[in-house]
Amino acid sequence: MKRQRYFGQIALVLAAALFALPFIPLVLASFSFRWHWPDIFPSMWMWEARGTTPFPVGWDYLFSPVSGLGPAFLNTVGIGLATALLATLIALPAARVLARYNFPGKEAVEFFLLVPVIVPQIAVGIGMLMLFIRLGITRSYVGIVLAHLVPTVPYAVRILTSSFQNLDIAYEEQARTLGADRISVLRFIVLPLVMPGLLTALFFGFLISSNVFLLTFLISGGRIETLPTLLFQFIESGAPLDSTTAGLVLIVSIPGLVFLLISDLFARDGRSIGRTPVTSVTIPQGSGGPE
Amino acid sequence: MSTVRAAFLMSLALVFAACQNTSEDAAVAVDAFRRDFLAGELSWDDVLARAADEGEVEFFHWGGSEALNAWMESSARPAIEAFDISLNLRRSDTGDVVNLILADDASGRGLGRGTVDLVWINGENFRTLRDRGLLFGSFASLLPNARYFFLDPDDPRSSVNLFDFGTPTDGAEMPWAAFQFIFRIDTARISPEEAPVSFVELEDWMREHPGRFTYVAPPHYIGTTFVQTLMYEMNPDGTSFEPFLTDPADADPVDLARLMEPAFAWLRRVEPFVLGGSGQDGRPGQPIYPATASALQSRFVSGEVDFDMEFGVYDVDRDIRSGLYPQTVQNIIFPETGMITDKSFLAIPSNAPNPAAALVAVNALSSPESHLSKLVEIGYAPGLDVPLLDAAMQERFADAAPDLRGVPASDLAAREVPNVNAGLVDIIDAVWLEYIAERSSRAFVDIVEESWRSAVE
Amino acid sequence: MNRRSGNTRAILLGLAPAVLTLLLLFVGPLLLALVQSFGHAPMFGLQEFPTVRFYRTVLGSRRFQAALWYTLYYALVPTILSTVAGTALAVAASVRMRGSRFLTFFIRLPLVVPYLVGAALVVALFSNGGLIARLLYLLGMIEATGDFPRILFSAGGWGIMLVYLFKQVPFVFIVVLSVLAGMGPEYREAARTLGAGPWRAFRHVVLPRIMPGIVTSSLLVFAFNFQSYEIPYLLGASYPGTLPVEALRRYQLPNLQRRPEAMAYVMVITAFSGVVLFLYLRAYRRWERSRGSL
Repeated sequence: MKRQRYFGQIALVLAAALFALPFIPLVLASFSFRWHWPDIFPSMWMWEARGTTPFPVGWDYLFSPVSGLGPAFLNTVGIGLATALLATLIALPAARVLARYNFPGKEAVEFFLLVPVIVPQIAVGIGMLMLFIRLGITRSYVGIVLAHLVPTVPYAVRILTSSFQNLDIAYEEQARTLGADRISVLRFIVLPLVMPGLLTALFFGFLISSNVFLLTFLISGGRIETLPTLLFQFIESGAPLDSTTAGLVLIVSIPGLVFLLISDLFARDGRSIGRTPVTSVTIPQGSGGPE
Repeated sequence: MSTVRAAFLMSLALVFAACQNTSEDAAVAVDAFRRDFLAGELSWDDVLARAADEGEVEFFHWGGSEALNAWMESSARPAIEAFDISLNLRRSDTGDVVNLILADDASGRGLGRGTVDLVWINGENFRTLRDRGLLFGSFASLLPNARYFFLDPDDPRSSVNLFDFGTPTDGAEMPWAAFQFIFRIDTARISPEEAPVSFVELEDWMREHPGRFTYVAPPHYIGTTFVQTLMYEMNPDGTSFEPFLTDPADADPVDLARLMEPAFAWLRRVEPFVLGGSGQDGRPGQPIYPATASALQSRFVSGEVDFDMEFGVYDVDRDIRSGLYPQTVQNIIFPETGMITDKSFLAIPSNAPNPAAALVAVNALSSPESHLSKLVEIGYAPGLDVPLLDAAMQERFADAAPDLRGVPASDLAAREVPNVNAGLVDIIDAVWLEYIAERSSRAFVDIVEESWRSAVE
Repeated sequence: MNRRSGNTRAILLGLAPAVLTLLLLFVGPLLLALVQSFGHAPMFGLQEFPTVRFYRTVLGSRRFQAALWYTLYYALVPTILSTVAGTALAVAASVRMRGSRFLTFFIRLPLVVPYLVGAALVVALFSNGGLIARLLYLLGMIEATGDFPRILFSAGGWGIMLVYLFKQVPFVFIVVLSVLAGMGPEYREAARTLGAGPWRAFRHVVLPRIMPGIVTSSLLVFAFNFQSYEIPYLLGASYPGTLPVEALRRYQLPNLQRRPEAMAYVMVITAFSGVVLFLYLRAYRRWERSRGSL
């Protein structure tokens, strides 16, 4: 047992290092001005170069209006919030039904509500592009939010279904028999109990939306930039340790980082790892990592 | 139930009709504006007034250069917004912009209802729009700043402004910047003396230094230009670019294949010696052809390959100042047999939603001041013709030109050759994809013939 | 729980928003792509429905065949590797110990960032002018960038697969770990006290219980890899592209008459994902049944 624990610890430390260390060179790169082969460290930092270049570089470039970072950030947040809210609202009634009732064809419905997670986004995306061109909603926020519903609604349904399953229906019935009307039952019994699941669904919807690349890329037609589409362009044209790309990568990682920190904070159950409400409820049903 | 459905359908139809109506009206107004402007019946003040009404302009441009993006913000924006037009900059690959315009048109977004007002363009992309009748019209000579450009068809100096890859521009696009195709080396790695000056020498160099050279893959324009330059040097008739200026529709595909074959034989022959190649004759290995100019540039900067290629003789100076290149990078004359020089343009599509604002924007970007700041800040050689400026301005342009980093201006000018005919670009790309990228075993002449047929039809 | 009759209305109303949304936004686009792949595209002046001409063009091309094999290869190798590594890591981490919460934070980090972040990291580290090549150069193990193995932009595809591993080892890890956490250490300890070695305990006690987690996660990983676009586009060889990359290339051809070829590509991708999903689930069911009969 002891030996196993020892090996486990080593494996875990190694893995953590493997996944976290690659971010360090990016932090260095984001502050560099010159970092050419074969230097292990930047040969000139961004603050040393300030004023000598005709236009801003590194973080100065990213935070100048030129980089397009500001609009991309606002777009990502706006689209993410709208998607999360809409997906949760759409999923809520379905999740309640799936958790409460048995009915013929239930398995088929459950399957149908999960399939979009597995079916190729390229297929949905290209078909959707044609559909949206006909509807005249390509290159619009409406179009992008609608597109983002495809990967988010299935997750929201899963999360909320398991949340409703945990909710004992007896509470509701008891309240009902005690004379509470529907609204009060909803407000004082159901809502507080479903709240964690609801928040999780919202969070997760936001995270997925803020990470989606292909659907945004196809539907936005280059007109509405989000953080992932901006990062795509930067990687496409940037050198390996390019300062602006590195800076943008760090910024794009922020929503996920915040998500992770919050989910860990909410996990009061410090006893077992990996059992934080968010990760244990949601990610098992997730795709190859939230897309 | 049926009444509900009928009511629903009816309201839908009403909404649809209403939408149709308003957009019909807009289309009629745009059409009238276009007709009157192109007929010369509108004063510039009329255009300015309508432009301010439209209030915005959608400017699509290739956004792969941080320097250009910075200049767009710092100089293009104030120049255009001075006319009460807000500038919406959209960064996009030019091919994608053309697709967007085509898609808009195909889905019925015609006159005044498109997405793109203004696009930075040239070559086959311009030709595609022109062939499909998707250009606003012959506006160039009607702009106040047209006086800084040679546009008189009878003046031989105008040809570079009136022909774009051999396609007549008909004034449907305004020259914006001039570029010469050029190679760079890092003198910390190879000295200018040992650098090859022709493709024949380059092949020898590659055999001595396997894996230290590669070129951008067509259909990226840098890759296509590389192949064009090679075709000029390898032309079996020794007539350089001349036969390639003909519109392929008027050419014989078998003869075209004969003219192109030595160049493609060269490409196949050197394949084992490009980046990732096997290093042994006859076995290509896994050659790597970067998909974009910046991908090649990053391989050059990171020391993987010893040559970089770009359009723009001042780029080296700019990229050293921005920290992208080490200070030891410089231009070289390659190949001595001819370095393709062309202009790129600003064009307005026929379905531009804000045509007047687009015209005002083009005019603002055609001023000497605008071209001067573009030259100074990002090293784009002017699209206007300096001899047409007043003496003081001419001097300012001469003083402002950035360092050419290793090559004298006279040497560059002596090696200027034109681009191929735009119709040939798709053929070169298709042949390259099949003959080089896919390593097809079909006869070269068959590949050319098939590409020729699908391009000409 | 079973309140069937009288609730039909509630059930239908409850399901309606989600089902209708996905019908419109998910099934609709797929159907549109399907009919277009068979030649129905009046928008581009094409009205040959039904024709299999586009499928014949696509399936017969060398480009497609190469793309198919490479897509499978890029999808399968990381699926196997991340399943094995993720499971092993989860088993290692399931033993309670100090600091594991802190450590798993870093392992979970890749899960919540876009795949593109993984791509940027792989480019920074593994390109021929990247940081690892520079370290090797410093150590005198390579003399030039060309000596460093070609991990990116080559048909070998290790650049693509490294990004997948970066995201998917943590994914399998977290799924399996949550299953393990659910069952608690008692099982294994019980097995051990009954005299089973660590490997036997794992095989006969732990593995059967975490199998559903392993199956689900590896299936999702494979399905994702098979259809991924941006990573093979950014880090793959110029030829051949993967199926999704080739599909979008077809879609972007200026010749609109050839657009149904793109639709044929996406339908092939969809059909293939469906078949793999089906076979995998069937194999899993069989495995489960065989276990049940033991």
